[in-house]
Amino acid sequence: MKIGIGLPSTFLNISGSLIREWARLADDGPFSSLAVLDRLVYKDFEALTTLAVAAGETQRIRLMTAVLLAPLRNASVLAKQVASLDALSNGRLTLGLGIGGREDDYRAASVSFHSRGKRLEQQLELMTRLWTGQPVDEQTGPVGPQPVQAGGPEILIGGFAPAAINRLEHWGHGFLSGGGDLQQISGCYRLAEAAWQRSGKPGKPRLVADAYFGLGPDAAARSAAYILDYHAPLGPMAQQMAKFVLSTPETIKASLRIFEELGTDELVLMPCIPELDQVRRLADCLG
Amino acid sequence: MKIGIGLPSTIPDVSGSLIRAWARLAEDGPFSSLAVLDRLVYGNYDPLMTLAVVAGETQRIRLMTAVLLAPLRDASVLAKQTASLDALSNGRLTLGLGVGGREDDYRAASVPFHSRGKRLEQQLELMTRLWSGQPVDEQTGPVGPQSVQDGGPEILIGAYAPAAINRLERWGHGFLAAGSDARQVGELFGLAEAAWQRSGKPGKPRLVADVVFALGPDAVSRSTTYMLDYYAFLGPMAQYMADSVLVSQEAVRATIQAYEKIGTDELLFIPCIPELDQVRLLAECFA
Repeated sequence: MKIGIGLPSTFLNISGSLIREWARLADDGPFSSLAVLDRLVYKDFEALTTLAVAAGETQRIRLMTAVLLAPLRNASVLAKQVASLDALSNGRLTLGLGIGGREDDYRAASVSFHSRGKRLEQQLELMTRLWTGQPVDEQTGPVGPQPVQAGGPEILIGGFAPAAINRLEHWGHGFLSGGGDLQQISGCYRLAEAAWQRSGKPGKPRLVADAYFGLGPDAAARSAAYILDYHAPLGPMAQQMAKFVLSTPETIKASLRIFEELGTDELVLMPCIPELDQVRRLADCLG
Repeated sequence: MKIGIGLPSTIPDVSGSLIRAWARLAEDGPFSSLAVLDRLVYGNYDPLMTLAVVAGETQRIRLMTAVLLAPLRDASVLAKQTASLDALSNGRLTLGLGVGGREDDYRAASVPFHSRGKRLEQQLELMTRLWSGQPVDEQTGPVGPQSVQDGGPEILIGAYAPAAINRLERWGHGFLAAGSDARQVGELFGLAEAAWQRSGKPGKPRLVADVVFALGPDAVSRSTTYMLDYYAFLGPMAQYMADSVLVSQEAVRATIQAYEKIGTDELLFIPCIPELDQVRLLAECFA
């Protein structure tokens, strides 16, 4: 099982240089991917811009959105930005895609909230065509550049609901589970594998999960403060999420074993404390 | 007068590693800015992703869109991407904004072509509010992050038509002219200064222009091939554009003098040949 690490792009008042140093440290370390979350009506750094800056700092590590809220964006501009980032990073982009659940993000983008799932499917249809070099329509040519990964970046379908997971029948190379308890994650994996089988594609979907971590002095309290702020729109659920944060080396090691037993191909650990020592502390747990 | 250089992001089949190496060379050299063009239905790299990747490669040099076709994009996502790029590059972003003239770009983005000027003005209105930390509307909070440059990145209004230049009455820190003829550009600068005066802002607008160059063996034939492809949509005018390329160090030096005389604050040299020696050959003209 591979281990990825999140970039601290969702914290208040952090500097660009912290993001850049964090990316370099992770590139030197034992991590497979750098991941970013996405949100519009919040103070976070924009997901694709953050990954592009990290691409310029790094050579090896994969760059992952976990997940990008595609429906907030214009599909042809998104196809171009994503192909550009894939090409400029020499094929290192993994595009986790989801729809999110915050109405304020959709109001800010002037995009309908209730049809966002359908919009994502239309976007996947168009972007998949554009990444293979096909024209927009009969009157309008193709939108380049050509991605380095043939046919476009690796796509992970993010979601909880069966209808969302079933998008794997048509699109995507894998599934990205966004939290929940282990039983829920396991259930989502099985749905993802069933959807993949119905698609007739050979092999299995890549199974990716994410979890929160915070290490060091006062890790539990500091992590909880961040989670309660970031997930405030969830109401009482935020309290529950704060309890799930992995805040000791022992709980991290135990979780690695459990996620591996579930069949996870890559576990992405998202930070709750925006300090560089978190990268080293997490690396020490893997060693 | 400052001298900036374009990145070869619109030249077909340019690799990400060339873009990154070009940026590092320009950062070490005597150049003030790295500039990118924008286009949707073409094989170029997306301008914001390109600038974000080179932000990760550089420390000092300014990052400029010349120009970004803002109406193709969604304003709140664009506000977030540009604020992020400004913050992650420690305040180095200059956002040249224009509407462009190619209908295919607008068809691909599903945005009306004929109201694009009005759309740009609405976008400037919203983005300016978001960059200063104000909420989207009464129901919807602010869209972060906070840019490093106070109130948002430096804005240059890119235009030819007097009505478009008059946007400087309400928005922007300066004016960006695409030019081959210093006399004509000088007249546009006069219009920009008049609009600035009417705005009641103190001082003067920053005046920026761009020209196209190609140096070294076969500069004429190689730049002509590229320009005829890039400007194919202009029909017979494409040859005029090809003929305006500066193809000798003498022509570059004469152009620098001519633009200095008309009061240009920064002159950008956009490349036609995607080879690293172009950066050195250009630097020799004025270093």
